[in-house]
Amino acid sequence: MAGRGFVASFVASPKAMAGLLLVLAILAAALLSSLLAPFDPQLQSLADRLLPPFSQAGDGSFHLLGTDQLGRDLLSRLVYGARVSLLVGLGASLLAGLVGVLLGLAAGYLGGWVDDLVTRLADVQLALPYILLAIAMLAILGGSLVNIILVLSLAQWVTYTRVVRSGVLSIREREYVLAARALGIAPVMIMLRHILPNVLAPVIVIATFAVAQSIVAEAGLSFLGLGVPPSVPSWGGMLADARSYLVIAWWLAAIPGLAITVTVIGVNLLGDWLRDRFDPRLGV
Amino acid sequence: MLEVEGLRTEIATEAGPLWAVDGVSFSLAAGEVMGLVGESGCGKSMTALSLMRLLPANARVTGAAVRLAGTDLLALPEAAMRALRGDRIAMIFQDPMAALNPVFTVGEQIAETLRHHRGLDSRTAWQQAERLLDRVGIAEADRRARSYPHEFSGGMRQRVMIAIAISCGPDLLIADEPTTALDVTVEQQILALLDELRRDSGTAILLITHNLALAGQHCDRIAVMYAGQIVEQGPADSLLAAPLHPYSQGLLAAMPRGPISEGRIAPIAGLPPVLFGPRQGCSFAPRCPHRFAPCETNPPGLVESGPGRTARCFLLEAGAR
Repeated sequence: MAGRGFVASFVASPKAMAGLLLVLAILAAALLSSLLAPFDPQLQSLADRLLPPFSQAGDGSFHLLGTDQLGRDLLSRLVYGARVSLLVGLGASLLAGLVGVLLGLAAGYLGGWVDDLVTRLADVQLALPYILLAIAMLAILGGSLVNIILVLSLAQWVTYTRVVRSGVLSIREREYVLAARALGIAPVMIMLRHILPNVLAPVIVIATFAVAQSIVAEAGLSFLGLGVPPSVPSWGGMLADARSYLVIAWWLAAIPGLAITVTVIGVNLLGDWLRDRFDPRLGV
Repeated sequence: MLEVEGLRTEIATEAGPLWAVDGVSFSLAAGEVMGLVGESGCGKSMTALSLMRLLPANARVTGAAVRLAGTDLLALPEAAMRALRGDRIAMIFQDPMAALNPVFTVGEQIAETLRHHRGLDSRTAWQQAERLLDRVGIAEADRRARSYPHEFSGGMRQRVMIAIAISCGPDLLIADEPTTALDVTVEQQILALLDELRRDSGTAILLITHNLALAGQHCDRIAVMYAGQIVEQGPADSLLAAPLHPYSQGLLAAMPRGPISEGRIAPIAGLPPVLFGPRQGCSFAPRCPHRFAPCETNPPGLVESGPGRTARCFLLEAGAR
């Protein structure tokens, strides 16, 4: 794990490097959007609407990725949209992961009433239709970025909890956990140091998929008018808008869709490497 | 050093409380090795886990005194007991393949115990870990400390387990079938290492095994366990030379000795009983070739017979041998 050779093994892995490059590119787009975007993403020009990629507008300005149904520059919206999408994608899966993993650990290792409470909560969560919950929460709290992250985390923590709990149930019976107890290690340390690293592999896989799911789920919420305001560019929102123009302007859907795909691939590659790295037997 | 008096451990089952350990008493002096011998399910491991207070959730100790250097372990609060584990009492497990955490280097696993109990900083703990690996006979300790458990053979892993167990210089080392998972040559090396350790450091060792011959070679004293009770206890030499209890005699007769063609192994017929509550008569009676009337009605008490030797049998009580 982290320690000797971490950087070396990272550089030596083309998978990790490719993943890092993709994620860094998206991150750069999100952080430097005001510098990278050629136009104001809100600037409308109805005369230049639905221009295909590589075309010139009436005033002579060049639109690399074309324009949308209101004549806004697609590249600028894409670059600004990375902010919302990355924040929501990473934020929701990290928050859900943190809460879900801790609850799963506690439920699996401590058992008893803690386990009962957590599994009951998870059952309740699974029984409630997610979209109903999202509508109710966002209607009450309002559709801000933080609230969207909260709502998405609420929908996702159960997956982590269930996977971690079942992993812990098998790991805690291993002899090395008994050995750790026989060495007088405190329960909290056993959970975090001895059990957690051994159940982390599936968690990383879930988290990488959750990033993609969150980006798309944000699109769904924005589509229903529950997400960020329509004027704020987000990949999900762009995808939702593009639906009506699919037949006449394919790039409106294809380009944000491609951006989501690239992000997901990047996160997955990084996650794959991280998962292998956590298993010393694979000798990565 | 260690005194155990009337240890009884019950396991809650659907059929009622099962008496896994029933009134086990023994004592162990510093630097002494005692063998706890018996077949599978006789309560050897439950005895060890009771001493460590690491019983599974459905088991509990219902009555006893366990004193380590005067401290009653069973009366200690959990936090104080935790401070003793790994420091004053350590344990080695049966399967070295499973008892090391696969995601940490072995050096890290030794160093963790030292940091935890001795408050050493990471550097000192690591150096100490390398010294301990060297101590248990692992060559190139500085390089091997950075290896993961899967890069070691079974015997090497058991050496690592021993290094972890002795890292804080415990008063008592419980070795629960430490060589069952290893082959015979490695078994001798590991036991020789344990022997050397107790001579150097005066650590008392409780060696749990199902191998009576092995206990005879490496222990000062032997306690034979059957159905949760110690049925015979005495110095290793005299116990093996002339076992008093029919069960010990049976165990000895069941041991292969010499070329196979020279003699036959005599198995003990039947299975050990499972105890729910107080016993009616002697637990071994159904399998005993010498049983007579009293065996069926009352459980036999411990009878002293010879220097340092006790056994739980009516034959001795009646002087009928």
